[in-house]
Amino acid sequence: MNDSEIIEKLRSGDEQSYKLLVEDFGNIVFNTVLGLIQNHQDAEDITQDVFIEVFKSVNKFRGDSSLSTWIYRIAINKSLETIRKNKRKKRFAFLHSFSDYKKEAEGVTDFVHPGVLLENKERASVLFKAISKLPENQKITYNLSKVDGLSNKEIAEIMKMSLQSVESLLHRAKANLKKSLANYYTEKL
Amino acid sequence: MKNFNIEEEVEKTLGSLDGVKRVEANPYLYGRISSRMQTYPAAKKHVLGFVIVAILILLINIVTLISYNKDKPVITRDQKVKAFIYDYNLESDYNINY
Repeated sequence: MNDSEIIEKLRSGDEQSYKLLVEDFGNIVFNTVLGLIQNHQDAEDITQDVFIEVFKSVNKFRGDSSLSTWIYRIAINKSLETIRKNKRKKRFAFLHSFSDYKKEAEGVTDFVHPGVLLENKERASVLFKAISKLPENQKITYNLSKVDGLSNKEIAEIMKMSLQSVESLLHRAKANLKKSLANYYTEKL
Repeated sequence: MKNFNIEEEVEKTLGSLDGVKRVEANPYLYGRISSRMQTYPAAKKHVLGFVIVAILILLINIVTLISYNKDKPVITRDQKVKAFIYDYNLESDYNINY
């Protein structure tokens, strides 16, 4: 079935088509969200939110992009909503109590991506912490490139940017990560 | 020497995502979505119900306010002054121009 046939079936409320969609895209969405959110439980919840949004918004899909691009965009938007909400919580955490504020201010706990090779887990955990501090667009492009393995062209389509913009974002992301990691290792050694 | 080691560590860390495998989502993902979707239309009706009730209460308040102002007797300035004079026992032979 091509994209337009799937969309038609979804619009008609065909449950089997919806189930197939979840089966086809479930892992993709989960991995994209997991890389951005860096929390397994939150990523599961947000993955569900993504497919519920797909169901709610299927009538608004204009077909100006592929189905997978559209789903990626929803996954990224839902992930960013959560990241921004968590940042706001951290900003006002001091209102709860000083001891709670300290816990909140310590930030993201060490994230271990289950798909990383065993010998790289510790380094990857350090890298993910550095990625979490990148500006949003750099974080998204870096994750889509390195974690999701998408090409720059695919990333440009998802983010509605030019290829040059994506390449520039990746370049800046890498430079910022190098700086961040250098500081980390300087303090450590 | 120290700088060289840091650069090496940085490069190794940057390469730690090489070969990262895609992780499997929860095998019960569809089931969970499905059960959340069961409550979705009911939740929407629930919100709609609240909105309708809120609008009704607002309309009732507006109608009450309008009819209250409509039926309210209009008290003239003369009547107010006479009432004041009476209340404070200020009646006299003088004809006060006001």
